[in-house]
Amino acid sequence: MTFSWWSPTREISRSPSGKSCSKALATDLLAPVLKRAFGKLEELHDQGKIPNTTIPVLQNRLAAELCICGESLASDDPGCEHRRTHIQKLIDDSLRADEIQEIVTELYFGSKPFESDGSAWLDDYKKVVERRDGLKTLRDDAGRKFRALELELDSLPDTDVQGLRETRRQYNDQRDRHLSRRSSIETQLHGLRTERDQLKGELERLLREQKKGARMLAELEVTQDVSRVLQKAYDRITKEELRKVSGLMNRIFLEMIGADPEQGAIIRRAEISSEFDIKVYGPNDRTLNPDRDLNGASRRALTLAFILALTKVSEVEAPNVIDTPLGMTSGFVKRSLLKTAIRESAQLILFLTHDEIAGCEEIIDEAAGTVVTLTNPAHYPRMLVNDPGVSERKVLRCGCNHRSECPLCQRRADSDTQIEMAS
Amino acid sequence: MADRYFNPFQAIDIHVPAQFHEAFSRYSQTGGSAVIDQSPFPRMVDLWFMAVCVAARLDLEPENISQYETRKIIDGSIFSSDPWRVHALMLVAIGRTGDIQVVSEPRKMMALFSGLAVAGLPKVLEMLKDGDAEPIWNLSDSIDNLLRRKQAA
Ligand SMILES: [Zn+2]
Ligand SMILES: [Zn+2]
Repeated sequence: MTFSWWSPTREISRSPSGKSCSKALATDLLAPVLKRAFGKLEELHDQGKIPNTTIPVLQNRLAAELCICGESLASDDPGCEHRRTHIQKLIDDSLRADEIQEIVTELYFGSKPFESDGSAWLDDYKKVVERRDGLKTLRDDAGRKFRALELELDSLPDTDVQGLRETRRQYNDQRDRHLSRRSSIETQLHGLRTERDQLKGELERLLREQKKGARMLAELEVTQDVSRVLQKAYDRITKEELRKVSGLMNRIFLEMIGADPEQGAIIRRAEISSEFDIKVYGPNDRTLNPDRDLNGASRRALTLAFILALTKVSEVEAPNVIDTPLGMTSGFVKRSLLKTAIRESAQLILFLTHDEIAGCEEIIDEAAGTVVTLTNPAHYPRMLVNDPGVSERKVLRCGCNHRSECPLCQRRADSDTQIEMAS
Repeated sequence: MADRYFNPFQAIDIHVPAQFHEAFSRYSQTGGSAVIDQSPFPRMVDLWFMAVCVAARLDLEPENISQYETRKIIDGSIFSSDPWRVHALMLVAIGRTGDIQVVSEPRKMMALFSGLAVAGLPKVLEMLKDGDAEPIWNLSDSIDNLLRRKQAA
């Protein structure tokens, strides 16, 4: 520990009073001789040979044009002239001091700090010594601890301190590596956490999607089931049912036209294709054009055969209502057609003209349950004998059958448009 | 005051007897050790000033420096950095001569200070060695004693 009392530049040398210790020491050491010097200076001062510090004050007052006593010193006021002159003279006398006076004046004012009571240096030194002794105690304590540690170290048997130091260094290195690794892992962890959060969001989104997907999948399954059922039904229709309808239609058709030698010669069979087209084949499986190669009766028979077959195969118990099925047919074919239709129907309702009925009266006698006659009053007088007496257009019914007539339905001999209904 | 300050010793070099030169080197940090405990004085002028102060304190008679072989150790301009020392020295001159007029004669004053320094130096060196601690503590303790003794007296 050190302290400086000579150098005015050392921080540590500053006493509490702000003066440097070296100055304080000089002040203390020189106190007796300085006292004599100050005595000399005071003598001079008392003789008025040392100007005082009021010179700058007087100069300031002159400049401000106001005396310390409050009287005006205005330069443009003649009344103040004598006061200004007096003050200026005081200043001038002071300024005319000779070299010694100047030096001594500076010395007098400059050395004021040397006049001090007591000993600043002694006080400072006392503090420093106290501090030194305190530090010395600390140092002694530290020294004792150090020696104790050294003894302890010596008492450690066969301990390779150097080796232990090396081991410690290695462990320190290891620790540093682990710390650095931990820091990098923490960084990674942070990144992974962020990623995890993102994936969580993604997972939730996907779960929602999956839910939606499952719903859609269920709907799809239902749809597929329905589709399979429908497909099976369709397949059955197109394969088994279609074949059944086709076969039955063929049988009925051939039976209907069997009595016609001309058509029988060119028509071999009829079928419904997988495209639902009705096809007619001649000898050598030649495809026939129904419009060109078949006569009206055969075409009518084909149509009826298809309807009857379809009704039969579908196993629907319902009446067949057919309007004028026997037109363009005659003779045995007509009768065959009617008989077959009756046989293949659960209930048959036919709208027949008198021409269609002609030649089939016995069949109707045998098969018909109810026969009524429908008359169109508009046919009077062209076809009807009597005026039905109704102005509105409506069909009139009477209980006449295919063998009887009444005034309502009585027809002129040459007319053929009267319709009878048999069922 | 600062702008009016002047150093009357500006042009005067400070000489000391050659026999003290080694001591100046040893006890000032500019000449010897940089350790303040061993070399308590930052510069040689500090030791020289200390010797003047001690001589003044002990009322020692100034030695006649002309009887020694001297060496210049310090340039007088050094006081320009310490105005208070100029004041202190001039006050010492006035106090020792009892003559105000002496302040106008820098060489006469310096001759007085040199004589006082030569008278005070052996005392200061003695104080530096007086004790079993480092020079700075020996010196401090001696000064402490000196101040107390004279105060009590
Ligand atoms: Zn006044
Ligand atoms: Zn009738």
